[in-house]
Amino acid sequence: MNTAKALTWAMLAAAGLAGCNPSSFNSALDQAPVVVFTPPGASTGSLFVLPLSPASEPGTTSAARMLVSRKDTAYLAVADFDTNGKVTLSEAYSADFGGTPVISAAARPDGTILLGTPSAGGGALPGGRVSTLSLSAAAGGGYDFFIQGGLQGGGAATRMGISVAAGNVTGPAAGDFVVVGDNTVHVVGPDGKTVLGSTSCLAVQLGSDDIYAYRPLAVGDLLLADGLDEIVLGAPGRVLFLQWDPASNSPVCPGPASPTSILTNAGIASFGASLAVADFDGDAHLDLAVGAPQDMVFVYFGPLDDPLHNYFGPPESAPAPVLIRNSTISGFGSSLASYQVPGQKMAQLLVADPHGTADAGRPAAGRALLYAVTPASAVVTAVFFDSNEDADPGKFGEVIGGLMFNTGLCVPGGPVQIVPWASNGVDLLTFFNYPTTTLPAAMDPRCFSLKP
Amino acid sequence: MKSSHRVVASVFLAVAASGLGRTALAQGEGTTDPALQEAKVAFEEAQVLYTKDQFAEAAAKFLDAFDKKPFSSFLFNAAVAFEKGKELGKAVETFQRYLSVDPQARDAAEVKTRIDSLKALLAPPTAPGKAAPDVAVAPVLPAMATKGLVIIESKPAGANVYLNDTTQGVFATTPWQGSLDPKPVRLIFEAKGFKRETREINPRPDKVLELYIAMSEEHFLGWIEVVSNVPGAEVFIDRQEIGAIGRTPYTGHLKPGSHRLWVKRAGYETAQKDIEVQPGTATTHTINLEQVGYGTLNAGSKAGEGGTLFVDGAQACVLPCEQKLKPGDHALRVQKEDMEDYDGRLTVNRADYTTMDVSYSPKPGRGKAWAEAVLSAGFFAGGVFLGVKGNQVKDEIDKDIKDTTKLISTKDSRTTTGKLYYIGADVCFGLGLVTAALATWNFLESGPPSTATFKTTNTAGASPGKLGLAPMDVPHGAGLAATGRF
Repeated sequence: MNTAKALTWAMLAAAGLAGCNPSSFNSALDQAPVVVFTPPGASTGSLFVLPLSPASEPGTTSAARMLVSRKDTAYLAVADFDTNGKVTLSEAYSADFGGTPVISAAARPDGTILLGTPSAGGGALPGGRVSTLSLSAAAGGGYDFFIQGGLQGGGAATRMGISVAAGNVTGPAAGDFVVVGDNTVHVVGPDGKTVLGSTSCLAVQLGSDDIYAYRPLAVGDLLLADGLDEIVLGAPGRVLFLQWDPASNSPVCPGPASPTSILTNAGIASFGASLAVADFDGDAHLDLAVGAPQDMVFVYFGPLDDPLHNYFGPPESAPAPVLIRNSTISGFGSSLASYQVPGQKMAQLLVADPHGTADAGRPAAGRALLYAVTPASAVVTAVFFDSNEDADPGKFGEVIGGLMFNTGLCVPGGPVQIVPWASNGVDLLTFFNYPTTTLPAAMDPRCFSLKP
Repeated sequence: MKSSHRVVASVFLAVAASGLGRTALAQGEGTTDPALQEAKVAFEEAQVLYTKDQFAEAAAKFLDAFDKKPFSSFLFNAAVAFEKGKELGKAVETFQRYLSVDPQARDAAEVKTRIDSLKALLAPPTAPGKAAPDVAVAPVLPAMATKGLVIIESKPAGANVYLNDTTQGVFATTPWQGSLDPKPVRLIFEAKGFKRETREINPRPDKVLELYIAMSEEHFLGWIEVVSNVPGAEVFIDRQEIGAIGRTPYTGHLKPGSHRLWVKRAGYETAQKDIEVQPGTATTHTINLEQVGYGTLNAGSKAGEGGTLFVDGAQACVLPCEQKLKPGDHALRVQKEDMEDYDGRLTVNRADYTTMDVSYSPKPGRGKAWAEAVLSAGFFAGGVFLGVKGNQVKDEIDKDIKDTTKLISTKDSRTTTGKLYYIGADVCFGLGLVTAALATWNFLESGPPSTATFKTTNTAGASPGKLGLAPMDVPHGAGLAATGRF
C-alpha cells in the first residue's frame, strides 16, 4: 500500500517535473512577433545599427543581417537573422577597428562598409578615422571581418567619422563616401582613404548643440536633378546642403553664394535634429524629412528646388512642407528613417517618439510610428513599441530603420521584405509581425509563418 | 406415651448431629421455661428431703413441682413419699390422682395394685373374738422407689423412638417425657426422610434427663476418590469453566446424584466420566489418561495478551491461548496492533508442552511520517499551484503572440516569471518527492522485531516434583489443601 502511494507520488512528481520544464519557456517566444537581442556591452550604451543587404553566399541560412556597434565601447558585430528570425552575433576583434567605438557606418551596394571611429587617436579632441570593412563567410560559420584603415583626422580635423554616408556625390556612379568630422566634410573614394574633395567651412555652420553631437547626415539627389547626390547635414535650426563642385573638386560650402544651401523653418531651434531621405510620395523624386523634436517632423517633397515649388525661395512664395505634428511633447522626431518596401513606389517614414505612449497603460514608454506621407497627408500605418515592462522610457527609437529580410530562403523566389526595427540603446527590436491600419497587413516573413 | 408436659430435669443434654460440619443443637429450652425451672428446683429439693427421710416435706415439694409443671411422675413420687411417711391415705389419694393424670402409664396396673394394698392397710381391724378370715392377712408391700424423668424431643417432631433395637417396635414418638429404668439404654430414632440416629443414655431416678435430637436428612453427601494413572492431573467436576477442584489423586465429598468428572493433564487427552454418588458412600473412580498425539503451545503471558497467533500462516487464536500443534516444524507469527510482528519457528514433538512468552517491540511512531506526508502533499499542492500559474503565463504568452497588437517580444519578461513559476513548481515537486520518499520510508520503517521465549517440556515424561499449598473449594466449604506433585 505504501509502495503504491510512493509510486503515485513519484509519478505525480515526475509528471509535474515533466510538465513544468522551465526550459520550455526558452522556446515559448520563438514565434513572438518581435525578436529582441542585446549585443554585449554596457547596458546603458547606445547602439548604432546599419542594416545590410542579405547574405548572398550559396547555401547561406542568413535571411537578414545588420551591423551592430556600441557607441560607448569598442564592440562591433554582425547580427545574422536565420529564416525563423533567430539572431546570431558574429563579433569582430576590437583591435581590428582601432579599439574605439564605431559610432557611424555606411554600406555601398557592393558590400563595402565604411566605419567611423571618431574617438580614434584619443585625447580631448581626437582626430578620429574611418576604416573600410569587408565581410566574408567564415569557414566555421559567422563572418570574417576584413578591416582596413582609411581617412584619419588630425590637427584641426577632429573626430573624423562622427557620421559617414555612402552615395554618389562626385558622379552618378561614383560610389563614394561622405565622412563628417567636427568641422570638416570629406568625400572619399570607395577605399575610404582617397580624399576626393573636402571642406572645412562648417565650424560656423554646425553648432555645438548636444543633439547634433552625432551629425545628422543624409545623402541624396535632392537638388538640380543632376544625378549627383547632395550632402545634407542637420544643424541647429537648419539643414545644410553641400553640393559637389566639379570645378573645384570639393563640396560647396553653404552660404550666400549658394542660394539652395540652407533650409530653415520658422526659427525652430530643434529643426534638423534628424534627417531621412526617400521618395515618400512615389513621384520618382527624393523627398526630405526633417525632424524637429519634441513634436514635429517636416517633409519636403522633391525636387526641393523645383522652380514652381522652390523651398529655398522667399518664404512667402516657398511651398509649405507637410508637417507631422505629435499631440504631445515627447521627443517626437528625434530619429527618422525611411522604410521602402520593395516593389512599392512610396517609401514610408519611420518616426521615433521616445516618450510617447507605447500602448494602453504605459504612457511615455516610447514608440515609433510608421507614416505614409504624401503632399496631402501623413497617415500612421503602424505603431511600434517595446512591450517589455522594464523598457526605459525615452530610449525607444533612438535608432530606427528597416531590415531587409530575404524570404527567398523560405519560399523559393520570395522577395526581400523590409522589417522595421528599433533600438532602445540597449536592445534591438525587430518587428516581424505587426498590425497596420491602412495598408495590407504586414506578412511575417519568417519561415514558420510562410511555410505550411 | 405422650405428654404435653415437660419435666424439669437436672441434666440438660444437648445432642448435636452433624453431617459435614453442620450442627444441630437443642439448647436452652429447659432453662428458658421459668415454670420448668421452678419445677426442677422443687423436684431436686424434694429428692434431698426424701433421702433425708423427711417424707412429708418431700411429698409436699413433689406436689409443688407438679403444680409448676404437671408431669405425672411428680405425682407418683409424691405418693411414694406419702407412703414412706406412713400417710397411706394421702398415698392412695395421690396414686389415684397419678392414674387420673396418666391413665396410660406403663405402671398403671402396678399402681392400682398398690392402691388396693394401701387401702387394705387402711381398712378397720376386725372385731375381737371374731376369727379373722383366712385371707385377712395384712399385705406386705414391696418397696417402691421414686422415679426419674426423661424428656425426649427431636427435629423433626414425630420421630419414632426405639429402645435398644427396632425389633421391639416403637417405644415412643417424640416429643416424649416419662421415666425409664435407671439403667443404660440405647435410643434409636427414625423418621421418614431422615437418617436414623442412635444415642446411649443412662437414666437416673433422681435426675431429669432432657434429650434433643436434630436428625440429618437422608440425602446426604457421598465421598469420592478420583485416581489416575497420571498423578497431578487436574480434576474438574460438573463445570470445567470454574476451574479444577483438585489434582489426582483427589478425594472429597459430593452431593448425591449424577456428576461428570473430567481429568486433564497437559500432554494427555482429557478423560471424562459420569458417576453416580450415593449419600453416605465412599467410592473410588479410576480414570486413566492417554498421551496426546500432538504438542501444545501455550501462547502468551499477560505481556503478550491481545496478540493474534498465526501458525503456518493460518490464524490460530488470540493470546493468551493454547493451541494444539501437530508434531513437526511450524512457522509462528504473532501480530498485534502498533507492535512489530514476531516471526519464528517451533519444532513440536508429541506431548510437548511449550510455553511462549512474547515480548512486543512497538512499531516506530508514524507522526513524523504523517508530518512528512502532509508536507509532501503541501509541496505537491504548491507545485501544482505554481505549475498552473506557469501554464497560465505560458498560455497568456501564446495568446499574446497571436495578438500582434501587443507586439510581444522574445525578451518578454513574463518568460522569466513563467520560468520562476516552473522552477518553483519543480522545486516543490522535487521537495514533494523527497518528502514523500521520506514519508514512505518512515511509514515502512520498522523497529526491532518482537521476540519470544519458549520453554518446552515433554509432558509424557516425568514432571519435576512440586509441593505447595493450593486453595480448595468444595461444596459447602473452603480451605487450604496441601498438594504434592512428584
